[in-house]
Amino acid sequence: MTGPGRTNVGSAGVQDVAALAFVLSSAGIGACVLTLLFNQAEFLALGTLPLLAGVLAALAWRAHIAGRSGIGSLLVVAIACGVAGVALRAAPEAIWGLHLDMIMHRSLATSMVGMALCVGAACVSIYQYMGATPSALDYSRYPILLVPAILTLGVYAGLIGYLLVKGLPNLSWEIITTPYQFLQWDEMVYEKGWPVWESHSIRQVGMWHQVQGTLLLMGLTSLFALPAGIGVGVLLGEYSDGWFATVVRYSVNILRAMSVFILGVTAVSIVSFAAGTPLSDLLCGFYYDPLGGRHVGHGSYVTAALLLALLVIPVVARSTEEGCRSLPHDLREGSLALGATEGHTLTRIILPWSAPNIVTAVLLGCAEAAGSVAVIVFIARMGQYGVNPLNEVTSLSQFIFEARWGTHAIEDAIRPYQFSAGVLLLGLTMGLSAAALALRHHFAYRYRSR
Amino acid sequence: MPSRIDIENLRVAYGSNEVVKGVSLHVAAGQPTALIGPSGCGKTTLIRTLNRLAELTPGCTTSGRILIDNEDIMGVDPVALRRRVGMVFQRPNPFPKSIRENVLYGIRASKMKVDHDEVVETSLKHAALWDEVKDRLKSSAMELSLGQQQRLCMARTIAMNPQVILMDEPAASLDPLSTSKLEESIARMKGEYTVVVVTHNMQQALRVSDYTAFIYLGELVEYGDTKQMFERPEKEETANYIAGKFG
Repeated sequence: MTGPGRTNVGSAGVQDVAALAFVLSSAGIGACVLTLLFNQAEFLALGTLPLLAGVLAALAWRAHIAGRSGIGSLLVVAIACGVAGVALRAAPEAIWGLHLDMIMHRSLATSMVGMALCVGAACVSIYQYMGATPSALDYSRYPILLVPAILTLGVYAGLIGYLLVKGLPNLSWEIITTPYQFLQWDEMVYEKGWPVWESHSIRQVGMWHQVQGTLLLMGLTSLFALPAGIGVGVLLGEYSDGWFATVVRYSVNILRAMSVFILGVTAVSIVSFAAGTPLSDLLCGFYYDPLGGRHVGHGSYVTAALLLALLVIPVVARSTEEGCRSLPHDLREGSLALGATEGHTLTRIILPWSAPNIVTAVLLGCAEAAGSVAVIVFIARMGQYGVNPLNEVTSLSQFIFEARWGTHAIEDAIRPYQFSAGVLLLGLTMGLSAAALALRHHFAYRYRSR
Repeated sequence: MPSRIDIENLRVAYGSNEVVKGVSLHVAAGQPTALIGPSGCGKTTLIRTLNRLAELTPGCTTSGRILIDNEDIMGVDPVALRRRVGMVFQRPNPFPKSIRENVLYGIRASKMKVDHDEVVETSLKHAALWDEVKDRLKSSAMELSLGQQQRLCMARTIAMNPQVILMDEPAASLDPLSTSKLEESIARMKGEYTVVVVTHNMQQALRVSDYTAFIYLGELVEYGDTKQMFERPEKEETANYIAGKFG
């Protein structure tokens, strides 16, 4: 009657019901997402499930009449929807955890279970809609791929949208180019003939030094990380046999897995160790206050860049290694056959070939350095005494941090601008990523066009 | 100045698998020589031993002597040796640089003091490629056709002014027109360089070489004048191979 790929007259009804099931399951997914956001929306999800069970059962019946395959999975999903709908409605609204003072609201379970079942329902309804043919099986898998991806992208979009909405209004050229300055002084005045100290302060809010600091941090980190990263990468890519390469590879992997907070604590240790030693100027930094007095800083850009470089080196090394390994074997042989030394082959053939990888890795490392706050959080201040490698370190991420966890005075002053700094940082990171893509494309065309 | 090559009882093994079994061969200076034989019989390994590329494969062991101009090549710095013994590979492998930079690569690597423009022109003319690329020397070598790329590889080898040129089935991936151009260039090299060509194609051996060596299963079966080997081979195996009865 019906063979694979052939449909008969009865299939017209199947398609309509399948379309209805698909629409209903999509609505169900939406309802489940809504339930995640608002507990009160749970009734939507709870209502969709029995409806879906019914429609799927009808679909199964029609498909059975039309002699199609896939009835089994339809029935399974239908029964699961029905059971879940009943069980969830019967369950108590708040579930106590065993011996733990923990409450889980039923809507969480509803949304999770509902999402899974609705995705399954969407899959089987697509399968029937497309005629229950073998190719339809491939199409029917799309909801499993697309729903998580779209939900994740939706979350990202929501976060970025929130950031933009809160940050853009306060972002102005003026605030970007004004440095944060705070001056406090005491003045002696006479009150009723008696001398009294009166304290005055001026505070100027802006993020100019933070912007410069972020750029300086990225530059210094790249400066320290590039040679080491390329060196390690070439070592691992070219001379990968032997115990030394194994040790290096293992160390690089561990470095990557290390918590950045440890680096932050290390930064404090370094600064407190260096104070009072000849290294103080380099590692702690120094600055001049408005009256000309020289002070030891709380941590310089050099210290921060050294530690951030530890984070960026594994990225660069891994990319360089991959670039070296991806070099076609016959290019290397061709170079050797012409009497080039290994060093010449390295600098003229292998490294240009790896250039796209290296550039991408450095720019991504820069983006990471820009956003990293854990490393500098203990040693950074507001950078009001200037931006140079031996001055106190600051960055946009520190600005955002201070808006919440600085002293009360600082907090109140800069809180309106915390989201603006976030927008700026986001823009910087996106710009760097775009630059990485463009440069990669350019280098690949220049050094690899095969 | 071309060199003479003397191979004495060469044995090459990859691990426990012996690929070249005691081959002794003498090639006179400037003499174009063909190595023929079925696939996998050690011809490629043999010529890769001549410029010490074979030993870069892990697990490769060699014994026996190879003398180029009466000098044992194992006693010479391999990088210096490869500047005197050039190689053209089976598949064209130009570098992702401009045509001019490709030709000059070996010269820059060895810091030879020569006039770059002159060398580029001479080498490309030798390889029968000059007319086709003379107005686009700065363009990428990757834009050339396969036949042109192979001739470019030949040009950059010639630019080094080597004494020996090894060719491992240079026309294997080329169309007939490019093949004939390549063969013309090889024929022109006679007397200037010692050319050793590995080929599957017996007619090609007839066209380009004066002497032919037939290698079968890692052993040298017969070695002699090309025309004579094809018309009146001494060994039965040679006669069978040439007649196409195997391989």
